[in-house]
Amino acid sequence: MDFFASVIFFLLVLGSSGIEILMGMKRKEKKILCIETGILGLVIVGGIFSIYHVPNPSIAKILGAVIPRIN
Amino acid sequence: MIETGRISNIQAAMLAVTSLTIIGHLILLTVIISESHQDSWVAAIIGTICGLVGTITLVRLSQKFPGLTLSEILFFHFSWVGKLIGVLYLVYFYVMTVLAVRLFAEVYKKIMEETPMVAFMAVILFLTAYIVYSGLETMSRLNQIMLPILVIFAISLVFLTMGKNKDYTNLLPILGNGLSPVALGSLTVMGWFGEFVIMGMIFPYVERPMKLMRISIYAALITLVFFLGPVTGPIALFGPVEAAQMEFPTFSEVRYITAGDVLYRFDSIAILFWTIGLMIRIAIFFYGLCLGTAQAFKLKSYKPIVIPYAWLIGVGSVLFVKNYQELTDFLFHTYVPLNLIMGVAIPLLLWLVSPIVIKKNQKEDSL
Repeated sequence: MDFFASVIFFLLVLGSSGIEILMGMKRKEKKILCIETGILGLVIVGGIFSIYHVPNPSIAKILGAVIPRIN
Repeated sequence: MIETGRISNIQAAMLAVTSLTIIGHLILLTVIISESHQDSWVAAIIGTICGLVGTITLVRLSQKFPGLTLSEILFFHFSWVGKLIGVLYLVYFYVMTVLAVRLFAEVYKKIMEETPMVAFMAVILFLTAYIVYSGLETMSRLNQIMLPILVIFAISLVFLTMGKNKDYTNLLPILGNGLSPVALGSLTVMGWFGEFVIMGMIFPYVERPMKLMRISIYAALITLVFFLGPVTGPIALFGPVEAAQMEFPTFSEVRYITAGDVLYRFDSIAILFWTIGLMIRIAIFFYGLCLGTAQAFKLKSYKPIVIPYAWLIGVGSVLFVKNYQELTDFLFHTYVPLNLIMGVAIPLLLWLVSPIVIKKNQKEDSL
């Protein structure tokens, strides 16, 4: 089930952002292409983390550890 | 220039008012009532006055670097330190967007318990990605239409809640618990006004930048006026102790409203208010994130990164917290210091250092 969800997620991400990536490739805009690929890479890693319920600290917890707390 | 649109000063102020008010009604209310109890309204007034420090500093900073957004100022005028702070601001805009998306999903989850949270996130991200893609002018115009409608609804709700159920003696004694709860509440409100820093990405596109100071102060005062009703209402209706334990005090208050024996369940209006408000808020921070990234990398347009960022925000909102308890913990303990650092401390520091930086840049240009 998780594998199926990951495949659908991957296809959705590529399907929605594919046009922009193709346009970037056509125009040879390497900078945009790099940024898009970087963000989408993070998306896929994050997506797999949430689909497979990898035991990781939440963003709020990480921020809470970095920023001085009140109370 | 990446953004070619221009908005009026009033439109900019309206954007700030919507963005601040909605987060105040949704989350700050619970925090401030549990900290300052019956003196929450005093804390709101003091906090707003203190919060003006961040607002005024940001306007002054923006006026020192005319036509430049906060990220442009940081990335191109403040050497490597500026670049580092610039990245921190992009992360901050991302966190604020993710927080608002998660809140939107949490609010709707309370009403539609069977629906998966991801569905609500997808809806709001579709909407806001489209708004951001359409540009600043469209976003401002949309807000200009929606805010007056929301205000009319809100005022009518205020009149409807002015029934005999409210006991305003619950707001007494003033400063009955001493000064420290009020000070803590004021700090929270001050932190809330720190979110005004997002306007640093919008100020360069207003028509009359020299009149920004007056309009920003007006925006802060209007936000305070919009906040005083919701902060006193639940205390008068439920008492300070019970109001502090509620997840969404205004929502509970609105549920009590009846107009005659026929009209009741006005909570749909509260939902409308939150939906539109959060939509605008998410769009503003999302826009700041996309524009900031595009300017940092000197891209020609921010539009190609809107969809990838929408996905990243979606994934981030799922991973942001594990449950509502964790979200409350973040709002009570991390949200305020984060905003105080990003919205007050850093702009103040940048403003103080800016004369030296401008002089240094002028010297380098003349060589």
